[in-house]
Amino acid sequence: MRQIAKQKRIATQARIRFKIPGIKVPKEKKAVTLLMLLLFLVMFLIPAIARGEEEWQTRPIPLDVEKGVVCVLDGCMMNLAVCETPAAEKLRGIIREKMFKDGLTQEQTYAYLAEVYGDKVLAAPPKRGFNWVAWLGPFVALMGGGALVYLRLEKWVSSSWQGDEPEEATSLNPEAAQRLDQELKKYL
Amino acid sequence: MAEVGYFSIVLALVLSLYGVAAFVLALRHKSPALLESAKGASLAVAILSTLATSVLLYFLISGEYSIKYVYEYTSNDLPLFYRFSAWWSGNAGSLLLWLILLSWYTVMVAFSRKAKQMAPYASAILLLNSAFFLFVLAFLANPFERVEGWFPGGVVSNGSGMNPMLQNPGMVFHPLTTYLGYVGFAVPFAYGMTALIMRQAGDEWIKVTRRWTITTWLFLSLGNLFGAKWAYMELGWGGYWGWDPVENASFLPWLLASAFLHSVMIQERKNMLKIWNVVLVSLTYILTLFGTFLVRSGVLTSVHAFGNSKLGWYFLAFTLFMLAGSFYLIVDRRQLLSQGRSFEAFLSKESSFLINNLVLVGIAFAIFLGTVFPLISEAVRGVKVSVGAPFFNAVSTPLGLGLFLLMGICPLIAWRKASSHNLRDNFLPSAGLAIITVLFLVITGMRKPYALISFGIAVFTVSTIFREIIRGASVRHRLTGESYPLAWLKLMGRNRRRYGGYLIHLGLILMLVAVTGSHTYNLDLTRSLKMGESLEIGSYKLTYETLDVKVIGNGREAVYADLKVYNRANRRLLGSVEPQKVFYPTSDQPATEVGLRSTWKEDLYVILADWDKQGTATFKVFVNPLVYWLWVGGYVIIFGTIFALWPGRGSQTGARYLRDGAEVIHAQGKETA
Repeated sequence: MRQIAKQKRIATQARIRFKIPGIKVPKEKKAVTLLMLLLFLVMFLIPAIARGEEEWQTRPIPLDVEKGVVCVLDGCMMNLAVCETPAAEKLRGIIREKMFKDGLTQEQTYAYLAEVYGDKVLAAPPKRGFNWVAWLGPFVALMGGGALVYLRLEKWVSSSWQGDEPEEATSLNPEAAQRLDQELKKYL
Repeated sequence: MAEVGYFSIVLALVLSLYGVAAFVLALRHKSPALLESAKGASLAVAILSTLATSVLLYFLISGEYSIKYVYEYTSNDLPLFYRFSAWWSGNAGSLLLWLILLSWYTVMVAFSRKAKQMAPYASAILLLNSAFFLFVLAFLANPFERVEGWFPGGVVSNGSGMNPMLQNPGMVFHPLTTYLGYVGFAVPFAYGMTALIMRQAGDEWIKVTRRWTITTWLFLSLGNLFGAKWAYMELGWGGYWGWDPVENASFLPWLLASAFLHSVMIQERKNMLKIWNVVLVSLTYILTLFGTFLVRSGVLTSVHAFGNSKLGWYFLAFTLFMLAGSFYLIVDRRQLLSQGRSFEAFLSKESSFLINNLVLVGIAFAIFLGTVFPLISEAVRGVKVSVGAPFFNAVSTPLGLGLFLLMGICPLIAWRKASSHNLRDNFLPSAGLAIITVLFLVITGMRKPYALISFGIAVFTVSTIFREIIRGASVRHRLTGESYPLAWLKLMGRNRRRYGGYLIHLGLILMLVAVTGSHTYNLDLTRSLKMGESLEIGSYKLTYETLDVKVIGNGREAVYADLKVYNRANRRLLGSVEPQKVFYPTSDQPATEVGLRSTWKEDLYVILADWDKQGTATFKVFVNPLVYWLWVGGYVIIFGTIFALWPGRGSQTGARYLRDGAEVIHAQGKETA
């Protein structure tokens, strides 16, 4: 960054120098200066730009983003967060480009990947169409199971009380109370 | 020598088929001689399986690389410890491990003194399973196959070596315990089917298999725990559970077995849920076969898979055969199974167990659906999808939290009939404590809803368990006059099944806390550093000191980085971590060795991801809160299970009660082994 700033400062100074009114610069000197400027551009600015590209190319991808992606290149099919194959690096490169260079959000990057590689690139099926079977199936099944358990319980409980007379609370006779106490001690 | 091994397998196959027929005929014709012969056949199968395994182990240890299996999974530089574990590193060897366990389990059943009438049928079913594995070993995955181009007298000097990721102690214990669990579920299944075949749908088969089921459940719990530890230490991605299809395949039977262990109490006490228990025990075993199909077929991508193989389809066929057989028996004997008693009230421990079963099976269904959904989607729409951790986390988290809440509510409800008044009185103090905890966490800055709910549920459930224990000890103290500590110890000792169960619940709560902390408050950072530079993450400052190479024996070299760990706030040196990449002579891919600093509060987890010749290294750093408690919770579960299982007074089946009489009958206690 410091180098880029320095180059900008020099370029600005040069521009100012060229625009100073009333001073005539010889053509040869002008040509030499332009050539030097060109060389300067080639030598410093281009690598600086290249360095800028490297920055986004090497920027780490948040782990949460990687966890949502499957390494589909070359049939690896492991979660990107745990995959260390060359194919995974290639896929990370694409994600970096979309997120850090093109400025896409996590969701937009996922949408782009799904468009290019199909839904299988996403670690969870997108919530649409047939995929709702997977997302809602367990909860629907649980509710169905719950209803079944309720109906069963109702049947069992009602059959349990059929024909029963209301229970009346009676005090235990001493013998029964003693037996109960002994049983309780045995249990404890 | 290889011929001896192979011949043992073929002979065992013949004898296992003979054994199946002999057991059935012995029962039909009531022939004691034939029964003894069948038992002898089961013993012979076990001995021959052991012989075949011994031959393979001899080859693995002596380095007989002309054997394809030995060539593929070992090499001269492999330590003895891993030469032994190579037994289950590949397809054929792991099937042999399955077989040897199954065959000795069969011997234990065949020669068992308990439920003598049931043992022959159960042994026949187990032998049928052995026959399938022997068929696979004899004709599809021969462990004694020679390398291509080998000729008699030819010597192969070295093997291609074991996958570096498998060269970890975790990979020695994880498969062994998982298989002990997996295979063990065959026994309750065999007894369950026997009960149906013999039309003896009482709880005799349950009494016989309860210890089997719990022991098997314990081994599978251990297997999953060791697997999680291995993944955490060896795969180098900062996590311990990846919802890989094969991980799911070992979790599914665990869930169903857990449901069975709860619902079986209803059958013991009320002679109810017979169909449900047979269904659960059948599905548990069938899911172990299904898991094996997943590993062997390669239909789903997994870090554990043995690669594409036609073998998987044989497993699928066998799984479907067992499924169809058990389904037929259950449907055919449904009248027999539906006999029983009734529930007396909606609000009772029995009904809470039903809901517990519903949620456990619901979670299992969610995981099963997610695991096979890629296949369903492709079959129905022709579209391939992936179903990974984001899906499973999203779907199973609410269900799991519901289950943990039930774990807290169940102890509050009485057997038979609970009054809402009592429930409220029991419920309110624990609920109040949970609310106070959540408010405290909110005040201290915690905002994530799932974490708050999860910690609230954890406090509620722990509180109910402790209240239960304290109340029991108080009653005992009041009735016996013993001191509180003694009353507590005796209470635990005399009701080990019950309090062992509570210990298991406590272990699970510790795991819930760990999973919540490590999932919702973990930090991660990837940074390239030059030597002397530092990075900061969480409460830590890490300074990269050196990068070097060291030889660690057996031709292995480790590239390691030394990082000093400081407290970020006061710059106090806390220690150092040394993440490594280990290079093996037989593999292009290095293995990851994590630099770990583990405390009860959090794990500092450092991976050496990359480096260059100038010494600049890239580190992946994670701070995973509360992971320590995951392992502690696991060991509490193991302790609780052993505590409940240990023979003697207190480990028996709970009291059975009858509504029609006013007495409590300890019918099961003395009968149950």
